[in-house]
Amino acid sequence: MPKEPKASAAADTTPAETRTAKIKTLVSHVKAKGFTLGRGQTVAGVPLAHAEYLEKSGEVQILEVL
Amino acid sequence: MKDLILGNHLLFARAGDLIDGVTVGPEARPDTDPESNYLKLPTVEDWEPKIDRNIVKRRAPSPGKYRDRKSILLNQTITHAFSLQEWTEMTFAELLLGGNKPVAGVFVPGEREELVTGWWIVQGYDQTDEQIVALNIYGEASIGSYKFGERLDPYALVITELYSSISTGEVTNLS
Repeated sequence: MPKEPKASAAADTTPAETRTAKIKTLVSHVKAKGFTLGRGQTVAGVPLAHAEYLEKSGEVQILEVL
Repeated sequence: MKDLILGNHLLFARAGDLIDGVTVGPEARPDTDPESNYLKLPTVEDWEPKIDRNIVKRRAPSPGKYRDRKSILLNQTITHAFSLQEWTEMTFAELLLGGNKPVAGVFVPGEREELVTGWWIVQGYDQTDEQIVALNIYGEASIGSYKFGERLDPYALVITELYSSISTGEVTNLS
């Protein structure tokens, strides 16, 4: 019996902890990616879980999930 | 209240440097972890902070004479003058001789078009090694003239603060 192809499912099953986001800070003194950031700064490569936490607290806007 | 003899540390992270994909700048201050984010300037002998303000006095007539009614602050400049004992590549080649950051030791004196700018951490510890003050300030540095000779005088490095919304200061162990 042939095995089911796995390649198509790979992108959807990427663990959340390895995904990153591009964020824009909405307030000053946001701590992300080893930096303290002022308002209006755009930073890529923020771990998705941290970006979502910051978004829930109203500190950042997630621009893109990578 | 406390009689203070402060011993100071001075650390620097250069504006424009890329750390983990983020560019250091007035609104992006790197953390101190890892320690390699900051360059420690060697052996601070003393520290002199100073605020220069331009103030307009508003006066109004009171019986017999005009008297001060209020002061309006027009502008201010905060500087921090440090006396340092030892030279580094940055303080010697870039600040004293005005070159850009040396590449493999090579630089052109006087070539620099902008002051050395970035984040400065100033820490002050009292005579019992308790931290009294910690500043995170964005600013530009300069060194005036220095006379090399038999006397090993310290040299003056002056940091002029530039505005950043994320500059901070914290005082501890003072009541």
